[in-house]
Amino acid sequence: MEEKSKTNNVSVKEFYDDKIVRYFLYATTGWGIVAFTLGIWIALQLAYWKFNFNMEWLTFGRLRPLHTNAAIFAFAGNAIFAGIYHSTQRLCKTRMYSDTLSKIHFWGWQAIIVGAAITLPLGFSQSKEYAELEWPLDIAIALIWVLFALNFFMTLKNRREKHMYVAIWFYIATIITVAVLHIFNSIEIPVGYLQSYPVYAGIQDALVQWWYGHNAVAFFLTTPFLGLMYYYIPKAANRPVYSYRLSIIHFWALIFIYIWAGPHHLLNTALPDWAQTLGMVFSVMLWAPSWGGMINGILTLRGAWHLLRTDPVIKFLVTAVTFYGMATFEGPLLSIKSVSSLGHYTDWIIAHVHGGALGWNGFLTFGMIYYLIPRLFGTKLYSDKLANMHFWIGLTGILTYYISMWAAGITQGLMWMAIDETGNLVYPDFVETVTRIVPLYWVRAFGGFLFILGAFIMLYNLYKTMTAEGAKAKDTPVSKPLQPREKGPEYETSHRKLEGLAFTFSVLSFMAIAVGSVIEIMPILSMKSYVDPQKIVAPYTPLELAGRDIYIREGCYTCHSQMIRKLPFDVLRFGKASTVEESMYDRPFQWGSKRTGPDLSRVGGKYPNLWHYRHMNNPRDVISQSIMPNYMWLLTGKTDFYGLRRKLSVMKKLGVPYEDNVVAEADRFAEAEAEVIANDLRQQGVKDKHLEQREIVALIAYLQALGQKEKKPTPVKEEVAK
Amino acid sequence: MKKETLAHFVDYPNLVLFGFLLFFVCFLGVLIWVNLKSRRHIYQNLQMLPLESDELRGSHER
Repeated sequence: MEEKSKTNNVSVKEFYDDKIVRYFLYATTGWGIVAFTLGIWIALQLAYWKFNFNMEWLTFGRLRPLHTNAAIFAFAGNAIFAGIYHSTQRLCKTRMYSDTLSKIHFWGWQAIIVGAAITLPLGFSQSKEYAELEWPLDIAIALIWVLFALNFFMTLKNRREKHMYVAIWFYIATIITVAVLHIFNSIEIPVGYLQSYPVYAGIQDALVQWWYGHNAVAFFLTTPFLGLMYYYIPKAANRPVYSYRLSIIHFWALIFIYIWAGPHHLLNTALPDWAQTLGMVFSVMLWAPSWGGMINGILTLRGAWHLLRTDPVIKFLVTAVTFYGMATFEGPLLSIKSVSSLGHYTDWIIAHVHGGALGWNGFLTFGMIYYLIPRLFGTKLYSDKLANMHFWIGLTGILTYYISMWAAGITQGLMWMAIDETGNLVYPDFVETVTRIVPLYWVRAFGGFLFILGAFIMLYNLYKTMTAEGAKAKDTPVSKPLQPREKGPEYETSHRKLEGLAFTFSVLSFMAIAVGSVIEIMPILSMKSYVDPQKIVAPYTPLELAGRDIYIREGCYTCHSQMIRKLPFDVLRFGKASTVEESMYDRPFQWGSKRTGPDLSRVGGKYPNLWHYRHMNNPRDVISQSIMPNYMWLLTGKTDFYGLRRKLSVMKKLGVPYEDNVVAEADRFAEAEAEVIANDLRQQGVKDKHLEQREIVALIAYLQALGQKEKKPTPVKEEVAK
Repeated sequence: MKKETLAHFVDYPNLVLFGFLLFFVCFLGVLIWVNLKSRRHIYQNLQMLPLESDELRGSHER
């Protein structure tokens, strides 16, 4: 199907590189199916725990990060690259700077995704949301991103159209900011081939992670897609963007304000109040530029509203922008402290995220694919009818998903908040608030099924389009820039100059995102300002640290928080509100963002060791209605005692006050601790000759330490001391 | 608390007010800059940029 882009006497430079666009489009559709399938799978796991299949590689805790990474970096990522490679060449009226760099970018990115698909189910995770990949993959991402940036900026340098259209501005902001976010959030020290500890701890790690996490949404799932919106809606509707003025305000206001909003993920937590307020205020301010952009996108259709009835591409694109409007209304709303106290940790956030991911990113991508594939193959779409069918089935799927998770989130949030006239919780059993919403998990899974059904219809339609008679993959000749803009003093304004100077524009974009980042993060990096010396806690013992690594490996943070908010109903349910000091040695922090299970900050000492042993083997042995998977492999897996010296050594370098002899003999200390717990379990009837070596013992040590670090020495430490 | 935090960078008592005014004036400046009447013609021209590629002219066959 490929037709070589070099013919007699015609240089390859006279054609756009559309082959790379097609490759990224194929990857988008392929990985999209993978990401959606994983989504349905983990949705079913929450509806019915047996879908975890009692296999360690397939539990919710390990597959959920794979789902989010596949959706963000594989599906949306490849879609962004396809759109950027296609539109940048046309807007710059030149071929990409280097075909080799484009190919390295494509294959390198796919290799990273495959790496993620292998390592995450195996439990190699940093447990930082959307940044779970371990250090070798982090380095690979940084390298590939830099090569992509080089290719992009050199293309800008070689451009034949002096003025950079608004879509390019959004691409510039994306490339610069994602690099900054990724590099700063990934500063970590390896403790193994596929394990590392971040240099940040506790509130630092929480703030840096959510500065990254929120801005991954902002600069990976929003700004590049806005660039695509500014290019593909005018193209599909064949009319210019509604307001160029508005696009300037939209761009600068959005990138300046967005970067500050991260702390709204940490409202009512132990994060200092000033940072929470800053995050909330800037999130509310985001309403204006976000809606400015949405209005600009939708009103581009002025005078051509009939296309909404007749053109499936327009249907997808405009619905995507509508979802953008809904999600960017809901986001600031959820960032208001009082609303967050209801919505945070519930499925309302999941609804919000999927409104954005499925509606905004998904539909914009589908619209772009339907626009591009026929043009890249020099033919017409095989069936508008099938595309319309995809649209309506997909839309029904998103709405089913969205509404069911709204209902689930608000129901559960209200149940958590309910306090009776005697001052007690109305629903004290956490599991009761979970089982109440399980029917809605089935509805959500059905919504996801409809969405993926639509995607399969698209696949069939695209296949028939690409294999239709006369369809041929071909490159497009490079356009010539129009002359009037090249000359004439009336265009040599400051505005004109700024948007014609790629380097200056990039520096200003960097400054716009740097201001908020520096002001917000710098003060937190000196943690001692926020730690009360009287409340400093003891660091984890070697065995507790080993157990913590198992907790991280299993992805427990995907369902359990370790942050009791300063809210009456949280304190009534879980105990005293969490403090800065309690997580000051936590690398990475484990505050979590969702409570499918209860908060674990103060679970230490709440239950006997045997309870945890039975609970991990089969949660239904101790909580009959639990939806948690079985973790029976922890009862047979061996704890890595020997790696502990290295791990404690790294922790000590990072400032954790371990004694030298504890570091030097970490494994022996851990074995001694394990013996205490193992003996306790044996006394209660557990039969296992090698119980001391089992992972379950290390995990129990960690769980029993949670919330107990202020009461030192712990019972385990006393025994070890003896 | 805002003052304490900003004091991390510069210990100046009116830094909060100064910061607010700086950002607000910048924002107003951009608003005025963008909305100058003399720029209308330029904007009308620039917003046509994505519509100038060859696909619309039907010349992608070669």
